[in-house]
Amino acid sequence: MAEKDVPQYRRGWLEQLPGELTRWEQSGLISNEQAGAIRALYPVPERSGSRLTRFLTVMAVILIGLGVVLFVAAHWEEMDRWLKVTLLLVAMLGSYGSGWWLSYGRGSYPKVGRALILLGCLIYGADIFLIAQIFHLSAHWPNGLLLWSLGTLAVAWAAHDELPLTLAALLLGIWTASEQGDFGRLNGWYLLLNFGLVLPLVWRLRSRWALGLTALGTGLWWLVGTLEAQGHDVPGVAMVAVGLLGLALWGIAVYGAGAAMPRWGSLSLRLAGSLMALIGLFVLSFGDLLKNANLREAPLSVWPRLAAGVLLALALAGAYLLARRQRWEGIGAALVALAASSIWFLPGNAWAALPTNLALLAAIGGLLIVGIRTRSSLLLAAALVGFGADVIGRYFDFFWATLDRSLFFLAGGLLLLAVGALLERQGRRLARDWEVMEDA
Amino acid sequence: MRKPWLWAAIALQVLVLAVMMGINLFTLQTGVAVRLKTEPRDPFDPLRGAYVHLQPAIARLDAALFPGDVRTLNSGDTVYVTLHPDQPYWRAVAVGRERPRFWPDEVAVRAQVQYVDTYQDRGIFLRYSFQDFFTTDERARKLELQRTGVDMEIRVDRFGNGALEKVYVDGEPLNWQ
Repeated sequence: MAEKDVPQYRRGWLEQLPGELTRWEQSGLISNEQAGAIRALYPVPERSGSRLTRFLTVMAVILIGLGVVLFVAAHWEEMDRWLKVTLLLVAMLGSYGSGWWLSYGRGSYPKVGRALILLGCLIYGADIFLIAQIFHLSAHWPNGLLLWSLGTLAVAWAAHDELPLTLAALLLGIWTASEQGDFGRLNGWYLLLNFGLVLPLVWRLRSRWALGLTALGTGLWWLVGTLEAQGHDVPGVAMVAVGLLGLALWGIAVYGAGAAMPRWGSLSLRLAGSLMALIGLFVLSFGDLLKNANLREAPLSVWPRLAAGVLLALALAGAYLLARRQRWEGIGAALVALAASSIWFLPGNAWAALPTNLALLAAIGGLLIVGIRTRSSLLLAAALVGFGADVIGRYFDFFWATLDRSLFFLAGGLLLLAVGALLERQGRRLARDWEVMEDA
Repeated sequence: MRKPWLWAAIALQVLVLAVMMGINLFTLQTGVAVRLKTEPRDPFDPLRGAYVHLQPAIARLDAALFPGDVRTLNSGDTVYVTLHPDQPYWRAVAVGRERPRFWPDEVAVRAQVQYVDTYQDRGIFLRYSFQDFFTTDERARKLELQRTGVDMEIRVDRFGNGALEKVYVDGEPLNWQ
């Protein structure tokens, strides 16, 4: 909740509430779950100083973590094996111990304490790989990432803390990309861990960063899995097109889910969804790719087609959720999903890219409008980056050699003029709102 | 709230690290010593640092050592290689999916199939858990240039785990912590 939205007469009460809730919990008046529910109902508006403190402490622990690892590495060869192990364990336990004491023992510096617990998780990961070095262990190396993420997830659950949860979500994504990319495994375990262990905690902690990373990780799982599904019997370029289409459809589904989410998760899902949709649509907008993929004729088994059908259904469900809030946005998302899916039915020539090009432009335009309407600088940035990439991509795309390229640039320029006019019309109100947000 | 479960989660992490070390130490303490001829290679891994990849002679096996159709072996499959003592190095006499029954002086070590070359019939390519030797950049480069005269001594325990114990260069053991 932005500070400007908090009524003046409630500000002091909101800031007193957390301390009172702790007192009520300790005296048994309310349970831990009830306290959490009340805190979620009345979030304290974060002051800019508080955000700065959190940023500084997280940066500090990352620097300390790197410093520890580099210090040990610099004196590695001189140290006895057991001294190295002792040092690593002391660093990890010391970080956890001091973090626990500052957060929950004495409780006087909770933010610094939580950052130290995050540092403990980082050192745990470093310990896994350094112990493998010390003992010359060369097992299946992605297992090290899996152990790191599971251990961090255990800390996240035990401490009910967003920081290790976000780290665990990131590590699981890297793990699945390694397993699938380097070893060609489908890795269904990733979905099980994400939906079984990560998402329930994301929901309880209202962790928007972990939510976004989980959505992105699932899209990555799909994309790498389809790319690795190429083989002697499976046409490579066709699977690339299926992978990108699936990524775009998943992105639309996630974006739509953002509309149904409470405020804490809405922006992160919209952002993650729009990134995936834009990336998928952008690569599919190249005529040469679709000409070579020729999905209409490609000898694909039923499984990729079935999977793409399921993703289209999810994308349309997402569009429906959007339409319940803002009709034009939902209809636009549905049309983008259907236009992208048309590549299954179009002949294998460069014109098959026309619907995906239109879908990409519509997605960028829609994102621009939503970004302006909701005053979200992140969505606006995503739209502008997407537009810039599209312009550059079209310049190099041989497909557009069949048309006068100048027509495309004229169209792009006219679109920007229209956006500029819209911005100017909103201009004074927008500038005042941006200033308020910067001051906050 | 003092979060007592946090210490359980931390204990779990310490247990993971202890098990990693424990398995290796168990193999080194109880395993049979096996000497193998190797060829070093010097890759670099940003996550794991400088190391020498020691390629033992048993990393490539003749397809005839596998009973049955070797094309049924897939990348990532676990197999067991039976090693027989010979002078100066042990040699592979069989490879199979199950831990085999072997003679008293033989051992069976676990490996992972990297790929099977049925096109040029170059055999079965395997990866073992003791092939990476972590060391300084300088030593890694020297070892790679060495190419010949590098041997490794491993320990193989009764479960088929292998652990690197010593590296020899021209008959002399390398010193490492």
